[in-house]
Amino acid sequence: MAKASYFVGVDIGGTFTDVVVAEAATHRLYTAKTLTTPDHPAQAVIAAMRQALDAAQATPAEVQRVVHATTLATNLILERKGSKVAYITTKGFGDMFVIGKERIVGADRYNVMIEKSPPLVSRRLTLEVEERMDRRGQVVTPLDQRAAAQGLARLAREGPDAVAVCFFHSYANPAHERAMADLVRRHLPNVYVALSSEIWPEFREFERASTTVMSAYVGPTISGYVHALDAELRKMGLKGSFEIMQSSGGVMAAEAVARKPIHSVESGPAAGVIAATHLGKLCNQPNIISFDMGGTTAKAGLIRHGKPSITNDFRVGSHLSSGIRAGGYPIKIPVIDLAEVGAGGGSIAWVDAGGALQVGPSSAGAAPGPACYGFGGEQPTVTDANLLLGYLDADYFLGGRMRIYPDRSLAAIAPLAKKLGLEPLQVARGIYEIANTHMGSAVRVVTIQRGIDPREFAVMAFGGAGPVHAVKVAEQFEIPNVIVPVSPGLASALGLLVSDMAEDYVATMLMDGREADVARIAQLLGELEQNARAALRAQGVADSNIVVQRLIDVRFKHQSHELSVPIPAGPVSEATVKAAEEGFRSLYHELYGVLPNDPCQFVNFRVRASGVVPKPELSRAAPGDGNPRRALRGVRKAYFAEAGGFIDTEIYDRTRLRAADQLTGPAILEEPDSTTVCPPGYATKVDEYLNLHIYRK
Amino acid sequence: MRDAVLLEVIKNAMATIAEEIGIVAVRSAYSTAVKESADASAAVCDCEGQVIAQSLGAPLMHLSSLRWSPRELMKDFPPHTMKDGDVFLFNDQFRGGIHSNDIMVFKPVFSAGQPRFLTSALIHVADLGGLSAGGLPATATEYFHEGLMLPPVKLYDGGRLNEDLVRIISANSRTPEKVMGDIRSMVGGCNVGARRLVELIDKYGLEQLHGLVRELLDYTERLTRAEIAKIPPGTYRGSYVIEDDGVVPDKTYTVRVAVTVNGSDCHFDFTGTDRQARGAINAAFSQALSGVVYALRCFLDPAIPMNEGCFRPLTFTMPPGTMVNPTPPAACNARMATVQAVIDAIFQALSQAVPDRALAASGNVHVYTMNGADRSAGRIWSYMDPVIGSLGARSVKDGLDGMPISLFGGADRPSVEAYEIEYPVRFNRFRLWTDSGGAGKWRGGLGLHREVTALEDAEVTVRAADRCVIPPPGIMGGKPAKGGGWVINLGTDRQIDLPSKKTNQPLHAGDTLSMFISGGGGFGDPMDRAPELVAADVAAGAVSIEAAARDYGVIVNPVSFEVDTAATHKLRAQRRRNP
Repeated sequence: MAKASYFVGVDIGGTFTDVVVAEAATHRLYTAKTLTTPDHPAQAVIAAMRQALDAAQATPAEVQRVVHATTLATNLILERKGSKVAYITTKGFGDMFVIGKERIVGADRYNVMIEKSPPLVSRRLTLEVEERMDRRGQVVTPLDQRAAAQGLARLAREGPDAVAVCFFHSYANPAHERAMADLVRRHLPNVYVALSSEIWPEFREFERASTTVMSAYVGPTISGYVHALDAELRKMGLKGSFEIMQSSGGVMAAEAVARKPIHSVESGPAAGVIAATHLGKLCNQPNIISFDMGGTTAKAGLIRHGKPSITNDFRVGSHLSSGIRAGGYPIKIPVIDLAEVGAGGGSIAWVDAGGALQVGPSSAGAAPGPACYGFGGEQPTVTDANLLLGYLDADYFLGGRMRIYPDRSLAAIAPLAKKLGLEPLQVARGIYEIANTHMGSAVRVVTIQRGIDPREFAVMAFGGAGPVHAVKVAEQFEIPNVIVPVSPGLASALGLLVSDMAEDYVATMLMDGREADVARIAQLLGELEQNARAALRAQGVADSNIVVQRLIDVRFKHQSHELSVPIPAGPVSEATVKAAEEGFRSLYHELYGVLPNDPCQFVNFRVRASGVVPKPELSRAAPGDGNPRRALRGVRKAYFAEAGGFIDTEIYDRTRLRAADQLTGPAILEEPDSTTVCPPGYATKVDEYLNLHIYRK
Repeated sequence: MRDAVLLEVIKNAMATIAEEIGIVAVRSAYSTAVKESADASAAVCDCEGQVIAQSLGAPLMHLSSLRWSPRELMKDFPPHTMKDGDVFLFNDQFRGGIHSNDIMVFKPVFSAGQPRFLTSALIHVADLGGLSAGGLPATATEYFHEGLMLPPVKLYDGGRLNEDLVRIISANSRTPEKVMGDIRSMVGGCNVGARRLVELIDKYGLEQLHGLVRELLDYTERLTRAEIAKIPPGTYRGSYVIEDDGVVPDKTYTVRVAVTVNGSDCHFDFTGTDRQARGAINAAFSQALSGVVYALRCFLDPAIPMNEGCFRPLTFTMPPGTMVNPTPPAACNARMATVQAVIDAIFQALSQAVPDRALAASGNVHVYTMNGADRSAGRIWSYMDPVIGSLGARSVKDGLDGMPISLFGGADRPSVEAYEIEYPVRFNRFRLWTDSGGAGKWRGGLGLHREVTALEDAEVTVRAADRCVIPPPGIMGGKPAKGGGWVINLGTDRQIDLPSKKTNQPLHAGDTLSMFISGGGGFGDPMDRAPELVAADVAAGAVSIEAAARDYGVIVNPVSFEVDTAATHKLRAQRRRNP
């Protein structure tokens, strides 16, 4: 039997599918990048995997672990291509999604022609059922099984693929939802069923129901896809485990996907933040703003004290309007907190009605792609601008494996230049600057708007296009240090290799701090922990490798916004409860600058169990001779506003740089999957992991 | 180029500061209205009272108060008398406030020993006394009935808390801890905002920052003027009738406006508007102006920033003693009746100039406050639950079902489970109200039907701002929506039909309050509505099969929901002959 000694990370993005193979013994990384095949994503996965494994001279049988991130769930939601979902709820509230719950913010407030997000489920696919629980989970009205069965018969005629059930206060007592699930399975035997009390049993009906409906919406397709891919991988000869990245930054076994499909939303971006966290630790930088720029969007995330920030208020499909999340659908599962703006390499530049140049949010994606790809794209993109400005090399795109055409970029930008009365190169510079401003707003959302000073952080730039823009984005905030990891275009795939398994559980139980029932809290947290541990064990994690983190959501009594506070390990006691309360008070003071003396209230109880799994180590490089000229490839003209225009810029082959090398900008550092721009006034040094550190001279 | 970039940076920084004040205030607030539905606003202004930025996430209905109030504050406390660490409270509705419960907090921001800016926040606080718990006594006839009035007063004097003021406010509130919690949350927001402004001053220097702010306001004024200049010059008139004031029977009130567009200037003249009402439907002038500014901005480019520059081209004639500029002792808490009448009168006027932005009238706010019958200290509970009627039909599309005019900031609905966890009530229903949208070529948005049962003996104060008896009318041949209303124990032998405004109506444990909130008016002749759209409405339950025939002349198959084309053709032809 072959030795299982390789780890594989597979990340499907909007434009590219990336694979990283790590060889455990040698710490070496092998990579592959292919264009995503949107209609059959598995095709690109298998092709890229073969390519990377061939490079490593490895066989699938030698692979210990394949971890996969996919945008499939997100795309299903954004493109509204998910399953036909029927929604079953408590009588009187069937219109909840049709009525909606949407804030109108910013300029939209003055727009009388505004539309609201289409409802998650139409009235026709909604069934109201006679039943009711109170807030304590006591039955007020028993479930009317006969009427429910008749309703199901009507629903069956609509032919749903999936059913989501959310009854009021089911977080306190799931009995009615479970009974309903039995009825559904009897009357609609082949549909996918999602219960709110299982998906995410937290109070506040709209958000819980939305999370449940979203699960049902992506569930059948996601589990179908994962199972099919699993079969392909097995056919290819994989013997090791196959796992999926979750939005929380933890991974789950592929077979867990059917149980928690919505957790695969945003899995690629989460992987990127995990990579940044890991790399940050390696170079002693626990405070990081991750900056991930791909083909369609740029995303900023925050890592403080070595931990990525997690939100429970994510809205999938939302957009940032004036820095405020608007539109979209809430999902309550833990999601790595990212601010996303529609500014990626493929973002299209255009001229608005008022004659101003705009960038994004529409993207040319993988097809037709930027004009310079020559795949038929005729609209100018950020990548086209970067090519004309001299930041990208037409002859060395993807390490020379893909040809790109500057003349097509120029032809695409010319009509805009004409409209604006500018030279094409001025337009290209405008596109570059506007894209940088957009990306800056994402950084602002995760830092300044949260009361955090960005200057105390380093920017970790990755994604194919990230390192082209990162220094100029960091400059807007006077952030002193930008780090660019090796193979930045494949960082998310690398993140997959260094992440642990995770299971998240929640329960709502309101309890005044003063009258906290320690025994009840201990019991509740104990149950959640047991469930989480059991779920991990079922995925093959040994008990000794499980680490449990517990949090309590605390608020001041009569308030409505909670803060999640971690509690110390060990048995739950009076001291634990006190620690939660004190942790809350100090966090509250830090965030809001006031410290009321009011009584506290415990609201939700959360458990995250992590299953520590074997991970590849990254190799350290010995210092080279300190002379980076060995990597000098040549000189070309690149545009720098601060230098007054195009200037001679040294071009380096990054793969030939060694640890301890230092060079000064202007310089452009090329590697197969990305390009780093070090502008004039900046210098770059290379660390022992071959990360670039760019700083102001 | 350099300045344009810096200007953008300052614009965003100021907006972010205003936003952050609002976020902190909402996140840490106690009042149910605020915490479950973000009923809060925030702003930054300079020491001349010029608004520099307002929170972008806040509903617009309060924002003009934060434009007018600082000027009044500085009359009593001129900037040179302010000290670092001062914090002011203010709610006087005759000097820029709205009504007792909408408290504003202002904090001067110091640099080099001088106040340079003011941060401000406004939220609807929990309870400040008055006829009914939680404020909003529907049948108040004097401001004395609406709760404690605060002229500009110092809560902090040079950083020292004014304990006497805290004692006065606490002594006048049914829920002193909650009300002080709300005030503290606003102070917290203003503190955070002040800190950010100091950082901004440190970064750019006072002189450069003031220069950039000046440029920002001038630039906004230029944008606003350019947009106003696109409206054909002339005087356009509009009016709207308010059905009652909840106190004087059988009397309506009319808001009249003449909008004069002259080049890039715009004048609003409310001469001819009725005298102020005895009931609480009057709109304090800053409230009326929130309506004016909102309505005008719906006819301009929505992307123009909201600051002083927007106000500069505007002038107003608001005769004192009228609905739009009431004088003491007018009660003002049910003011949305007048504010929305102002908005619809201006929509009507400006639609003549810019027909493609025309909009039929929308539903108005229904709010009830419920409190326990046991009012003894420490026992009382009370909450407020606002539900807002839906958007009228527009010149090219339907209104929005269950979504109000965006003055209210959308439909950020409170959580039923959260209410039930905190109060002894149970909700039975929250649905769209079939057939409540005005028929038209474009249908008005559907109104709402909400139902709640008291589980303990309680009292309820109901306040439908307007549009129950006289429903939101349609335009261009569109039909009116259904008017709203309140009923206790609907369909039982204990049914009580409530007037639109009623203070402290007793509810026994088990009694159910039903509220019907009007939809929006229709646009254009319903006989011109595409039959397929009518059939889709029938299939979705928005329009009943009977109303499809009666109001639209469309015959829909009750099983397949397909249009019976021949029968429809015949019925419509008949209707057109004998409308």
